[in-house]
Formats: sequence, C-alpha cells, structure tokens
Amino acid sequence: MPRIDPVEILSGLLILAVGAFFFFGAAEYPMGSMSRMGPGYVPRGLGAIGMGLGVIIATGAIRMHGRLPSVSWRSVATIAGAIAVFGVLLPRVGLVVATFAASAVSMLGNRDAGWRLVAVTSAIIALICWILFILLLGLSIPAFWTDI
Amino acid sequence: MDLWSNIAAGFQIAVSLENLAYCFLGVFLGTFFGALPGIGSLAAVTMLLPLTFYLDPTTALVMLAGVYYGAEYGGSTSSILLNLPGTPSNAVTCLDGYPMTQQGRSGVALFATTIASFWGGTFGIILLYTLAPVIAQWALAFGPAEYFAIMVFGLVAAATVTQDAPAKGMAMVVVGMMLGTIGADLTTGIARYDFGYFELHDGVSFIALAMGLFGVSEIILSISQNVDKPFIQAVTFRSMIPTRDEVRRSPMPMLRGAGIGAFFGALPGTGPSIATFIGYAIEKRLSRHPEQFGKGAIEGIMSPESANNAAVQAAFIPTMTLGIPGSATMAVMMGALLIHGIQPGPQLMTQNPEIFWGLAASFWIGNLLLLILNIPLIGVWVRLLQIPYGILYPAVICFICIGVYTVRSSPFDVGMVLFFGLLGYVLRLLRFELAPLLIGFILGPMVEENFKRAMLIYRGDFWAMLERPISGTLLVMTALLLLWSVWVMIRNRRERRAHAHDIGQADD
Repeated sequence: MPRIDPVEILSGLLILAVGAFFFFGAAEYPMGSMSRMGPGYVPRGLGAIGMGLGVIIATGAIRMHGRLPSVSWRSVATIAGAIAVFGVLLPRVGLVVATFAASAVSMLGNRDAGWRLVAVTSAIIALICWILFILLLGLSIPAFWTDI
Repeated sequence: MDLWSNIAAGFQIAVSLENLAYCFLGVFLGTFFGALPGIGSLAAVTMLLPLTFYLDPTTALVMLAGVYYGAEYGGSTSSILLNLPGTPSNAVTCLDGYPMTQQGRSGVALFATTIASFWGGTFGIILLYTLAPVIAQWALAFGPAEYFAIMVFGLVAAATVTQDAPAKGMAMVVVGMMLGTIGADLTTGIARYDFGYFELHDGVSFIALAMGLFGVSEIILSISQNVDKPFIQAVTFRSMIPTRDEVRRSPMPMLRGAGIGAFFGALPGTGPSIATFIGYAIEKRLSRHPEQFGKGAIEGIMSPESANNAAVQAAFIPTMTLGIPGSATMAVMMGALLIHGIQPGPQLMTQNPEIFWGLAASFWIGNLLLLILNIPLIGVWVRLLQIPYGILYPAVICFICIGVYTVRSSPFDVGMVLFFGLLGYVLRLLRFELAPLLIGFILGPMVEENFKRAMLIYRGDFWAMLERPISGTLLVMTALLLLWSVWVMIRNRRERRAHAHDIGQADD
C-alpha cells in the first residue's frame, strides 16, 4: 500500500466534492450557448474546473508523507456554541443578554478562566456593546426583551 | 494645474473635523488590532466594517483605510518585540527585528520601522496621485474582454504567485467564484443554489463570509494554541536613537523597498507580503555584509517595512481605477464601497471625485498621524501586547456577531458566519490559503458578467479576445503563469520526495 499524505488527499476530495456539487447542480438551470450563456453555464464550467483541481491535488498526495493536524474540539465547540447562542437569543431577548451569553459560552474554551472571571468579563463586554452599538452608534437592534 | 487643484480639494475634504476624527480613530484602532499578534489587517478591517455603515461613504472609507494601513504599521511592533508577526506581511520584519530586541535594541528597531513605513506610505500615495488618473482615463476605453482578461489574470496571479501550492490556491479561487454564483442570476433572475432559503436569493452575505473565514477561524486557531505570557522589554525615548552607522545605511534600502512595494502593490493579485519578501531578498543580495542579515541588520527591517506600506497604498490603484481589488483586504474595502452604493471603477473619479481625492489626501494625513502617534505611544502599544487573549476574544466574537447581524438584521447571517467560520477552520487545517477564496468571491460575479457580455459581442468566439491587444496580452500572460505554476508544482514535489528520502520516510 503506497504512502498517502492525508492532508492533501482530504483537500483534493473536498474540492472534488464541492466542484461536483456545483457541476451537477448546474443541470437544474438553463445552459444556453457560448454566445448566449444561461444561468447554468458559468457554474457548470467552474464546477468542472473545480473537479479537475480536486483530482490534481488528490493525486499529488500519493506517495507523499504527511500527518493530519489535531483538531481542537473544545475550541471549535465553544466558539460555534457562542455564535449559535447569539443568533438564537438576539431576536428573542435583545442584545445585552445575547452578548453576555455568547461571551460566557465562548470563554468555556479557556480552561484557566474561573466562573467569576467569566461572569465579570462577560458583563463588561455586554455593557461595552450596549453603550457602543446602541447608545452611541444608534444601531436598530433591540437592547432588551422589552424593546422587541 | 488640474492635478494640484484636485489634490487641494482632496485635502479640504480630508481635513474636515469629522473626517479627521474618523481618520484618527481608524489608524488608532488599526494600530491596536495590528499590534495584537494573529489579528491581521484583513480581520481588523472586516471586524470594524460594521462601525462604518452609518457614516458618509467618504468618511467610512477614510476610517477603514486608516484601519488597514494602521494595522500594517502596528503589525511590525509584535514582530519586533515578540517574534510573532502582527500581520502576515510583517513576517519578514521578525528576521532582523527580533534579533535587535534580543540585543536590547528594540527601541531603535521600532523607531526605524516607523520612519520606513512613513516613507513607504508616502511613496505609494505619490504613485496613487500620479498613476490613478492616467489609468482611469485609459480604462474608460476598456470593453468586457479587457475586464475579463484583467480579472482572470489577477485571480490566477493571486492563486499562484505567493502560494507554495498553486493547485490549492487555484482551488480556493474557484471555490470563491462558485460561492459567488449563489443567488439570483443577473440576466434571468433565476435563483441559483439557494438550498431552499430565500435569504440566499441576494447571494451569500459578503460580511458573513469574510468574518467567518478570517475572524472566527482565526479565533478558534488562536485559542487552541496556548501562547506563553511574553516577556516584554520597556521602550524608552533614549533607546530609540540609532547609531550613526545605522542612519547612514538606512536611506537606500528604504528607497528601494518603496519602489518594490509600490510595484507589487499596484499589480492585481500580488500584495504586500510578496513585496516584503522580495525587498528583503534584494537587500541581502546587495549588501556588502550579507552575513549580518538575520542578526539585527537595520537594512533587513527598513526595506520590507517600506515595501509593505508602499504596497498597501499602491493597492488602492487597481481598486479605485478599475474596480478590481488587488488583495483580499482591498476586496473588503470594495465591499464597503458597494454597501454604500458606490461602484469603484474608471467612472468613480469623474462621478465621485470627492471620494477618490478625499481618500487619497486622508491617506497622507493618516500616515502623518501614525508617525506622530507611534513615536510617543510606542510604550502604550508595548503594554497592549500584555492584555491576555483570554478576555479579548470573547469581545471580538461579540463584535463579529453584532456586525454580521446589523447588515441585514438577519439571524440567518449569524448562522452563515458560523458556517463559514467552521469552513475556514477546516480549510486552514488542510493548509489552504483563504485570501484567494475571498478575491474569487468578489471578482467571480464580475468575471461571469464580463465573460457573458464579451461572448455576446464576439458571437461565442473565445479566440476573438486573443486578437485584441490588451486582453490578448493578458490572457497569454495568464497562460504563462499557469505553465510556470505547473513547473513549480513538479519541482516542489521532487524536492519534498528527495527530502523524505534523506530522512528515510519515503516508500520504495
């Protein structure tokens, strides 16, 4: 079994998949001709180029040495969680609570931070965002649930 | 003379109290974010973009441009003091800047980069003044074939010139262009690839894409690497005074750096990073003491810093005159103009002269502010580097979320930033460069539009574009670039395999 660089093979397959998605997806739209291109023409061409590049990258992985980088699941989960919490809470309870919650969730990624540091930092960030974005810049975002 | 009256009119706009205040705010925040290791000018501009939505377009651009060149300025501070480049284009400054810190001479290095940056910026602005009106005049005669060819050349250059893996760079450009096709088709109005979401009919939110790819993925990466608390040396005024020998050795590298920077900055697709590397390499070759490089040679920071700032200013030339952003940060700038309903291009200088000339004047004022700001405030920036990242990143996450949400008051876009943040993280782990993706996303729809129009004019005959002098030359150059990058790929593969053989890792 020949050696394969896992990073490059995954990169190639990812690009191949995205290219294939756009290439076959373009079949839903009228193609037109070279002189009168329909909405499907350019995405189809791009999809074809993408698939070609994916194959080139993947073949470059063969007989090469490499190692997959480690994924920091804790960082990914806390940052993704923070953004999701913000998106869910903002339209329901307003900016101040949403920023407090998002900041608190994002800080769970930091093992060294105790709950007191998390609470104080998040409260200060919520306060800064409220003053900066709503009181000073006047963005039309609800500050509290009473404004919705 | 017309140029002088334009310059004077520009300064009149730039010195209005509001513009001055926002210029100051821009360079201040830019230096702040630039000095923080990890946050580049691209992330800084993207994160501060929402603050400018409610400003007048000229003021908004003045502030964002201030953030851009302020961040490039500030980035050298952490290169020199911590050996961590604040922005990718300051990486070269580490080579000789950090050894100077180790010798206890960080003050001299910080002072020298400030002077070199100011000179480089000034040179870039002079070039912008003289070249931009000429190119804009010339570009009025461009047809869709010329635009198509310039953009394709820019995209291929962005993907191949600075990358060690050209195929992956090209793949990022193509993925960006594919993301750019999402949304309603311009001629028929058919919604392409909307995944059933009506929010995607206007296309993918540019802000969500940029902030997710650069801001969010950057934070995930930074918090997963535990950085040790840095030791930082105090910088006093006294310590900034260079030796007489260093003063004598500085001007020529600074001049050469500015020329190199301005050239690469003005080309679409190549940007400050490559300019700094070339500036450094040339100084090392020309020096009578190349062995001093890497051990704290003043030439090794003068030339790249001057090149960096000249390139930053010159990058505005293709953006403002052709509507073609030369780098990912310029793509964000152009996105900002489009949000304000202004289409950059050759008409910009005739239709909105106040924006062009006001902005150009503000550049010089901003550079002057940076010069004044940086010498006395270096101590403050140095102390800033001691803010723990652990309390900074939650604030940045909140700013990103608020910024994305305000563009269209849409929780959907917050979901998009999450998606692109995760995508950016995966792509970084797979060693893809993200900047070409953003350039592809911005230029993709324009490439498609001009390609369609050109093919309509030439009745589907692709070769007709090769017969026109400008588009033909550019397309041939593009083909040569592609050939060259194939050669680079083959050579890299050989080297890597040879290396693997040496350490006994290759099979067979």
